[in-house]
Amino acid sequence: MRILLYGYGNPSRGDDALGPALVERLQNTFADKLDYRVSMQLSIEDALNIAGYDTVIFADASRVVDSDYGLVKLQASSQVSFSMHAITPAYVLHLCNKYMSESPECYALHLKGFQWELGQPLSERASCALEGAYRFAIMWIGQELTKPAKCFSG
Amino acid sequence: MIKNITIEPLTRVEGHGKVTLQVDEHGNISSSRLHIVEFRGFEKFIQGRPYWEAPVLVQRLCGICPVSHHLAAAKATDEIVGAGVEHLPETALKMRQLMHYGQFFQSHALHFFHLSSPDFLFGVDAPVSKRNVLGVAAEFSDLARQGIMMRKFGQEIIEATAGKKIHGTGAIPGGINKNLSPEQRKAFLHGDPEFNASRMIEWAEGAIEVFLNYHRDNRNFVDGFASFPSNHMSMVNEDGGLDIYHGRLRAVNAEGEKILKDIDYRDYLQYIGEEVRAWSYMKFPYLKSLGKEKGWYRVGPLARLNCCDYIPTPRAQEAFEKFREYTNGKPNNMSMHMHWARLIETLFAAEMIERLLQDDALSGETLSYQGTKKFEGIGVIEAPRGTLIHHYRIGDDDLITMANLIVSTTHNNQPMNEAVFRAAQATFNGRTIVTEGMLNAVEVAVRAYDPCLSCATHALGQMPLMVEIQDADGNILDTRIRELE
Repeated sequence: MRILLYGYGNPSRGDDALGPALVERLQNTFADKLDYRVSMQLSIEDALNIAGYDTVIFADASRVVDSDYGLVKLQASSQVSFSMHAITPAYVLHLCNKYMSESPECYALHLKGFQWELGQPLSERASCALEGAYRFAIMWIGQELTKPAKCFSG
Repeated sequence: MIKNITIEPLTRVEGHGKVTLQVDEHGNISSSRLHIVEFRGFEKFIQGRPYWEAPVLVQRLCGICPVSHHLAAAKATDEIVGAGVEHLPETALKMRQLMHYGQFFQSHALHFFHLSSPDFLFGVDAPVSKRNVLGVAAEFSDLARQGIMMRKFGQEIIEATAGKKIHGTGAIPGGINKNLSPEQRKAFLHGDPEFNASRMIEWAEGAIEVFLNYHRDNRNFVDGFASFPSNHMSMVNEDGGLDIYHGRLRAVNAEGEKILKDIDYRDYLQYIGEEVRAWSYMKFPYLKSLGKEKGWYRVGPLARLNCCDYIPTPRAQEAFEKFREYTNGKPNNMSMHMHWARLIETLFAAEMIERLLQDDALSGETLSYQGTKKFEGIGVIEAPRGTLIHHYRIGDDDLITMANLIVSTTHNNQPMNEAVFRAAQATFNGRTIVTEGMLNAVEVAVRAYDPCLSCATHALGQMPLMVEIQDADGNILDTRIRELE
């Protein structure tokens, strides 16, 4: 079972650091059982980076999630924003389907963020969200790891 | 009654653009304002930090062009450690250049293949569902895939030279912290035939052909859309050739006369002023010699090709000659030709990458230099979107006491306002409803400049595009949210 944990966000901007912070904590727990990736934001070449995995988990800060954290299974989507400099995980999945002819199961793990100013550390409430998401991810990824791997030709 | 029409894309936590069009009592657009919320707290963020941290810290400013900030800061701090470009070891200089060309290549590729190509291939009148990469993919699938591969290639170059794609630590004050092995160079030059330097050159040339074919069939749109005369500014090398890493600052007016004559960029404060306007967070730079009204200028690909005398690689030079011929050697003032210029630069970057990879100096062992310490440093480079200025002062304790950054999108503030005005004027039908055509036109005009509207954070929760019409008292007359699907 090949799993990629992909955290994105700007570590220097308050709670936007939640995605990379979760990756750092889980890396200490799962070590080489998973692959890890961190970036400031997603881009089109991430379609290549997620190809070949059974499961990809995108971890990111969210302003709009209701609870401290939430896991959503992603459907590929061609929606893009005005400038498209930053794209969504669903769009990355779409590009992967379209150009790599691969369909990893993708999930978005949203962590609730509250403040975004440059130079701020994680807020107290975001730290709680991180802790909750970390515990949840240990359990959920642990189960995923027991599943059989898909066969890839490439 | 005077009415305001507002076009507001709400993107990320901060860094969104908003367009307000003012309509006079005769039903004509009398002015336009492009409001870009620029995060200015960054200069304060750097103050109090040791100068040697600057090249790494500044990458946090922008997730789109971190390499540009990394290198501009490194150049500024080179001066602080007494290692200006004349002292920088050859290996360090060429590693940085390779990193920079890698950044240029991937940034320009993203813009053409996945951002602006739908505007070209389908025009502003095409439905939104078609004007994204899906539309391109349906009809030009090779292009979309090439775009991904080119972007990946550029990122791999950055990773090899900077240590990693994001927040690399390659450049340090006075040098670089790693070289490139002969094996790494060979892999980029002669590795996978679908993923090596010569393939990238081929694809870059192909992209220019795509543009030229489209131009041939749509000359009125490409030449006339959001076209306006302006000054242009960029860096050029000592011979007047295109150079994106180091050189002198030159500006020309719409007729091609030099109005800034290859000055030492360390004197930029003598020549460039920044105006503050009440309605925008972003400043409006201008050439002091021409004043605030007439001194604004464009930067970026179009400006670079208007300012330079030649391009120092053969294939890009050939493309450049055709570009200059089209306007009889005069500056090109057509906004949509920004894309043409960007593609010529993409080819230039690919050729430079190949040339640099063949250079054994990349594998040299002397990586840094330290000279006599100074307390001030200014670094300027040409970022993909245009001239980027970093300026620092430090105290006796080596901590930064002052930081001044003028980024490319700031230089292009007034030109983008002009482009929006022209685009809106051409599509406005006298009604207080923003039509799909006008919305598209405004987007296409702004997108030609590839502004960095979404700096450095990206928490989820953005909206696609909101259009609001207000009267003079701020009353909302109409609101429209455009969904992309």
